[in-house]
Amino acid sequence: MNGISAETYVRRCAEDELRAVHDEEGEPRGFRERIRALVFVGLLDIEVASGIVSSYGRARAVRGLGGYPGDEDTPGAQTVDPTRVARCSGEIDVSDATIVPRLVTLGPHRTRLAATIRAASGAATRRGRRHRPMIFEVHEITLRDDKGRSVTAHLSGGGGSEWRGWYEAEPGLSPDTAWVDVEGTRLALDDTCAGATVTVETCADAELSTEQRATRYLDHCARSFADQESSALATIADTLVTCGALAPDSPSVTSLVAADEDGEPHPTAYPGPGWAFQLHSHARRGRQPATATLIVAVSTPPIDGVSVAVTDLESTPDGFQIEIEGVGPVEFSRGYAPSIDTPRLATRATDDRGNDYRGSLAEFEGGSEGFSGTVRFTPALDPGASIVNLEFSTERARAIVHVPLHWGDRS
Amino acid sequence: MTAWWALLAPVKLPVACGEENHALHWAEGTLAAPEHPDADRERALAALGADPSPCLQILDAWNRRADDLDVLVLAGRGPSDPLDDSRLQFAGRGPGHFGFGGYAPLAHATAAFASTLSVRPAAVGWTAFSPMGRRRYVDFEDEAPVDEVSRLLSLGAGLPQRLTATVIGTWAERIDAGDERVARAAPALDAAVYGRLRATLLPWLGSPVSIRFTMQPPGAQPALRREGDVVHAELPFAWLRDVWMNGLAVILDRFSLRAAPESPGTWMLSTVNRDLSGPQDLMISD
Repeated sequence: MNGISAETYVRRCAEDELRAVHDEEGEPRGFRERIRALVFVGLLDIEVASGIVSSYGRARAVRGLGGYPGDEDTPGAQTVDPTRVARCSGEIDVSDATIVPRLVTLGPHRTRLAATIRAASGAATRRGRRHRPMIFEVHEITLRDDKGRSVTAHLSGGGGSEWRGWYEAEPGLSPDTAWVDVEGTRLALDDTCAGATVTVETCADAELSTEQRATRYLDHCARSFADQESSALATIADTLVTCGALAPDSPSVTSLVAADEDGEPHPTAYPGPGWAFQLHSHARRGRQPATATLIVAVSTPPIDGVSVAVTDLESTPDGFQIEIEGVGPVEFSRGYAPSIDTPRLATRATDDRGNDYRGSLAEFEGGSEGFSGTVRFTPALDPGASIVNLEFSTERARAIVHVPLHWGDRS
Repeated sequence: MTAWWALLAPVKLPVACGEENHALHWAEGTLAAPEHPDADRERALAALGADPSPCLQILDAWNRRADDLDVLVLAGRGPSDPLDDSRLQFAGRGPGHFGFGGYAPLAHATAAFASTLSVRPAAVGWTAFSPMGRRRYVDFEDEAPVDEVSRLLSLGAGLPQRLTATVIGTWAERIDAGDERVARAAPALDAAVYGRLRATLLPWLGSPVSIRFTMQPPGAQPALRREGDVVHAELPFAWLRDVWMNGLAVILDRFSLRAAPESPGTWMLSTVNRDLSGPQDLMISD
């Protein structure tokens, strides 16, 4: 490195930013990206980094400048219980609507019920009743479990005569309940599924050189920032080069520059051991129709303190998307994170025909304990693909959900 | 070697202590509470539940922070980096008050003090507080400790400058003595010099330049040279003690690299002009 330590480097950056103009939101993001990179690459201790962020955050505050979010004490290691995903079926008549559930997720903090809601037959033509959208009748429902717990779940979703959405209750039901009662109708839960497997790889940092860790970190950030500004990547690369973690002409840096110029996804490489879990998903057999939905119903084991459940996969002519729900602190965007070393989640998909699909997060909501959202992939699934591999990765580990693409018979 | 406090004049800080008006005295590098000759006894009584004396609270906090490098992080970097006393006072109050939407006097203040040298009276009271280590920036819990450093830097009567000087002097002595604590503190010491060099050099040059700074070991020859838009600066930590702290960084539109006593009341400065050529010696005397 240029004769200075990583700590000296970040302190000088903080001094520069005390006088520099920060971005529109008042937060000097460049500094945070620099210090985060050095922590994850192992050149800066997390406690030292947190102390620097705290001290300079105060210095900025007394100067009327924006501070550094995410400088709270690093949370201790937490046990993450994966979200339970179970299929269910039935039709539940409520007022002028019929609720058709298809699966339920039972996490440590909330319960979600995926359902289609449609008008009950004849409801719109009943005499003497003032017509109003049927969805108002069922925007709230009561869920119960086998422990006697009762919660109110609120609907979110969209549609017209038929709605597709999620009922959500937080706090939720007992994750180990044998059944879920929906407005007086008891639904059996089917945890069994077939076909999908999950592979988990954990990167053992002790086995990696600084350059390998830096390469991995830069690659991961490139995928995390898939749809965002590339200026952060340049800042990260500059930091890693300046602190001697990467050579200026290393392939990771040069390919980053080239990919950025071409607007292409950045290539990734993950060294490390792996192990496999056998999980199952419901599947329908047949050729892929133009628009189709698979119920996946798989949860990954915890990776880096985060577990991701994949509920649905919907394929359209323009691409495909998955519904996910997760447990554990995750930084999805660069604006929020409980601490400097909160993992960032990147998504990616490949198939058995060698295709690589670029994922971007949409309709995300989350906090320090969990999250849910939709990940959209482009381009459309290859009609000849028989399996899609959904990859969820943090800086230190990744889980890949291998989903057989068994579509329903076309009529 | 001249003491680090040699060019810093004594000051007094009036303190309303209980129902009496006291004063804290700073002179020759030491802060004292002359109206509290039996300070240890008072501290013992406070530990048993008696109301603590505001004078001793300030004094004890001062002594705890005499080598706290966070002082150099929070304190001003010079005339181009003035701090707002109200923000410091607000920050020093403690939990939930890092916003600047409004400020109200402490509800439980046992004393308030005013500085004879400030334009406006300080309105912060010293309540009972406990010593604290690193202060979290985001802390919205009740009953959390007060931020001592911010509180001390909000005092009037020139004490913030003298607290900064105390920390600089303490660490300069440790560096000269080869103290083993210096190695661990090196990044913070480096940043302290770098930040103040930057805050001094850039306004003086009046043009944006990049600064390539190297902190030198004690006794090394300081240097400043320019290569296009890059300024290469090589300074020891002692530059903070001998030059910056005493307000000698820019004299007669020249930048001082070093200051050394020539004789009692007379100092020799090694300076450069805006072209960073020279150096040229300047002698000043009081």
